[in-house]
Amino acid sequence: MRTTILILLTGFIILFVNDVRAQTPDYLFDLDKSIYIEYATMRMEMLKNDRVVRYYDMEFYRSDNKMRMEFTAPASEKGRRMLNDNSSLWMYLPRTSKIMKLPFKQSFMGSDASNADLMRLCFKNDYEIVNNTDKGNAVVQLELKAKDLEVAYSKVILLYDTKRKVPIEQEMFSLSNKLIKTMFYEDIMKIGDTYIPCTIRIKEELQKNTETKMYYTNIKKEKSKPAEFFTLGSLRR
Amino acid sequence: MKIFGIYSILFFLLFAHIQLSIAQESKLNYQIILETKGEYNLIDENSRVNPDNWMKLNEFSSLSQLFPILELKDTWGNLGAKLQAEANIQNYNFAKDSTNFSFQELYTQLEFKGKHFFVFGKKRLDWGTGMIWNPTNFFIQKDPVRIQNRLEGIFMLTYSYLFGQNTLSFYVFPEKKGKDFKAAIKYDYSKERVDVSFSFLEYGRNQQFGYDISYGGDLFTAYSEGVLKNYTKSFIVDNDGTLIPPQSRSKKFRSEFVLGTTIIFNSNLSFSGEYRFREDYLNKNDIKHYKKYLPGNIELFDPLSMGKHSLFGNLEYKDTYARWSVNLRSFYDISSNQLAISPVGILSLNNLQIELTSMLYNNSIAIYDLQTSLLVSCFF
Repeated sequence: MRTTILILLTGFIILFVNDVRAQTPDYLFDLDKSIYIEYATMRMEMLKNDRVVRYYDMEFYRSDNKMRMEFTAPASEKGRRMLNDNSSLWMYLPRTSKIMKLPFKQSFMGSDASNADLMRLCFKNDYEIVNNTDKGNAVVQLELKAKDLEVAYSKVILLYDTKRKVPIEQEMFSLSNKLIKTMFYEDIMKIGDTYIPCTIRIKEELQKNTETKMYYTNIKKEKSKPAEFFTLGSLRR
Repeated sequence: MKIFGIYSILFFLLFAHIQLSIAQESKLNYQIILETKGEYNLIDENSRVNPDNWMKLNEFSSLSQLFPILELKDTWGNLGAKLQAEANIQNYNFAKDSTNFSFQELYTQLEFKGKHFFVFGKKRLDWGTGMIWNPTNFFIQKDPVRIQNRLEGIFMLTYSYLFGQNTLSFYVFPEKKGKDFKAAIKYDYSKERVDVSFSFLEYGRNQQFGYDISYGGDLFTAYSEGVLKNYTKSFIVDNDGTLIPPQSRSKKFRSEFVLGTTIIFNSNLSFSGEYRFREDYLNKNDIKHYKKYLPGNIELFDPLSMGKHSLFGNLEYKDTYARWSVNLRSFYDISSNQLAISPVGILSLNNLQIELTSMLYNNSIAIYDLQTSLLVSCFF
């Protein structure tokens, strides 16, 4: 009798734990999904004192954790390409047909975004949730901790819209717990069955008068390019 | 007649520019680059290479270049095609009879499933990750002073197969004479943060084995590129000061390699450095003999480096928005003691780039004491 009760109790506990696990949303998975696009045309504007000082137009391609960008404007940058194959970062210079390897933490073409911000976006791989606070109105605040030192920011505090499953605001901290950047996710649009932020604003907290805006248009979520498109071999062609 | 032809091309380009601005056809990309370079040369009066300016070099010179670039692309299911044309119209010193027209690139590329690529035509050879020197690139076509220089392509027939993180490429470079036949095979592979490539070249009955390896970290990159080859393009000088041309030198295998790095200190400041070793070039003793018999053996002269060991360094500071940058570049040859220091200022706007460069030489075998150039590039 005692053994039967023990078995039933154990079974009940296992079922209960599994049920709780099933109900807990996988925020990091949903976050990655909400910022995941296969293709978009993108305009990046760099502002100083609310004035655009530099801009780039590009075509943006993504496949899992690999990304490729092809610059279409301004005329002086036309033809330039960038590739992140999830381990290395490359730039193709059309004037010399030359390929150059770039360090990951270099600033992206003079913007407030680092190469890591733009070309290495994968919350699930890089972070774990250490704190989760309900802010009401279907908004939670997530505190994320980097899984290793290779990740660009050691801590991230993120406001997350649980209803539409999109990020709202993201604060990035250094190893010394200093706020470095704040990202704002705006112009949320429904594409297919997911909501996607079409504008991302990056505010450099150490230089108060600068900001970078990224506008995504012609967004597609379907796979259109073969895996080889995201390799160094293809970047040259 | 030539002038008439060039004006016709310019008129056609202007017409195409207006039409394409209206049409905005995505399958057709075009770009027009206009570059004008003005140079002031302070000629070294004590130069052993050019005593009393026997070369009759001018203090002032200019070069104007126009690059119309056209790219036509289309896809039909798994098949893709691209036609790329890049012309160059150049004029020296604004002189009437010094205008030349050539194609830098003119090739067709066919693509199947994004994995198989066939190229036929004149195309730039993009071998090597070295920033300044590329020993694997056997067609010497680089001006080390200008990193952004537009290079001239070579006629080639290539097939590349991309599979996973690997690329296997075959090259044939057609030549009029059978004995000059050139062909190459190259294999590229990427794993984690390391990229490697190996190449073999049959160069007119000579051989070259090459490698290229690079590593990309968060704040730095490191690379090495080198070859083992049984041919040379370098003259050498014997103990009597007599020049031995490349074709008369022994066919033994010699090495040439480059070690390089780029380090990011912060978002504004970075350093790039390269060391090059060339076994087939002059050692300190050869340089002594070379100097003794100048200017008779001018063919060997290189203003930056003639010896076995060369160093390059560049410290760059750029503004937050990459609108301007200042660079301090220097070249030093350990064997010949040639030192050239070059401060460079670059202003980059959306349709305009202005580059002011100075080059200071320290050595008695230099032709100039100082060269200063202003390069204005307009992009449309």
